[in-house]
Amino acid sequence: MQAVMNQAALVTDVRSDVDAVDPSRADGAMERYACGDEAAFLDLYDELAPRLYRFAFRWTRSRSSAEDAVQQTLLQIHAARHSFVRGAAVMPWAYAIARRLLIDVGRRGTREELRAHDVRDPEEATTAPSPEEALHWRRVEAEGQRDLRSLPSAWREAFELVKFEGLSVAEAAEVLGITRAMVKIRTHRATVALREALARRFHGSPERTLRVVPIAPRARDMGVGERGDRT
Amino acid sequence: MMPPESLKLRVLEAVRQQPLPRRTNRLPVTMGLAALSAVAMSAVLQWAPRLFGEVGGVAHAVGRPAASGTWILAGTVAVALFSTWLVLPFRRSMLLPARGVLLGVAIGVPLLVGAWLVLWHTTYDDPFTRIGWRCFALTALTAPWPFATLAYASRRMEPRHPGMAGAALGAAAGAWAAVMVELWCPLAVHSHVLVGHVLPLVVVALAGSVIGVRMFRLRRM
Repeated sequence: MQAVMNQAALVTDVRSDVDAVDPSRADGAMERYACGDEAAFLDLYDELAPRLYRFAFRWTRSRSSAEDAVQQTLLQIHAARHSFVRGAAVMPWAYAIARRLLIDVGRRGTREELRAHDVRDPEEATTAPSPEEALHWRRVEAEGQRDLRSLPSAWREAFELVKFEGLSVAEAAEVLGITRAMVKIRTHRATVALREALARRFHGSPERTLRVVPIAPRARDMGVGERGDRT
Repeated sequence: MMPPESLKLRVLEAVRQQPLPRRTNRLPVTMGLAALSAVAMSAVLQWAPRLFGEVGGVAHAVGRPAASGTWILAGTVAVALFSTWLVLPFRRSMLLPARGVLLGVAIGVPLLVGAWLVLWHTTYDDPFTRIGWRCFALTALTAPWPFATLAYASRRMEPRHPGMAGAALGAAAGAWAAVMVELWCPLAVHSHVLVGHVLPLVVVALAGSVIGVRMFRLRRM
């Protein structure tokens, strides 16, 4: 049981894999840029691009789509330079733009297509310590991805922003346009669902019975069935 | 995982090719637009009723007791001010309000305006009866002006929910239109309020939703 809980902790208590970024640096850079300091955009890029890139890549699983989303997000920020509100937080704003761009990409079918064909990152490391280990980790990753995709999109988005992107609950609430309490509830529900799915996998039959959770419209569109399998 | 250097070069080059001015104070333009829309709404109130063969301006509402008229107007102005405060980016944020707030404004404004009018119907008898199509038309003609002002003030903000944001802006604009129409219309009977004062606000909110989707669309650069 302890092993299961350790595994669950790995999946559900994961902290951001993004280097700690001080949001005030991004805010300061944007403020300077809005005031006419052209060079500040470079600082803004350095602060935002890595985080947005990881966020977009996690969403699209495609390096080129992630690059496009980052580029468009930063250009939208650039376009709003003259109307930037003094003292506004840049990070939630940037994530909100990126999220909307990625939703548009999803609507256009790019995301579904990429996932349907299981597009892999060409620059992703293909070597592993051993074939067995590689197979094991690929399986674990695929199952984790499937569990995550089987969550309702609202839960998943809150979970990803808080757990993977390292945003605070307040920032995630701003990005999603919902209350902080709702972010906490959704993140908690996603965490519980993932833990349960993981526990069932360890204790369940070889057929793996994932807890049936309401399928998000986006996941349904992608052809993901109730057990997380592609239909 | 870091983004490639080529992305940085691409972004910086794109930014260099599209130079944009530094921050400008939009408040004077916004205030100017608000004043312009007030003038335009007054002009509509003065001249549009003549198209239906009616008296323009506040003279049309003489049959309503002054006290009731004042209270009706004060309540509607309060709804308009509050809804505008809710939807406009007065906060230190580049994001428009949360979906719940926007939804509350879009639904709440027609309900509050209608309920407030019906409440005052108990204090006096309507001087005449009408279905309400004139009030509907007047609201439809006056609402676009404040909507344009609100849309300008929200420009370049990130709505997160474009349709909902447009609906809330439409409802707030409708509330200002309702203020003008209630200066003109002395009727407060239920059926008239529903057709002439609530229905147009719902229509304006729906139209705002459609416009919002287009207005807040992210254009690729």
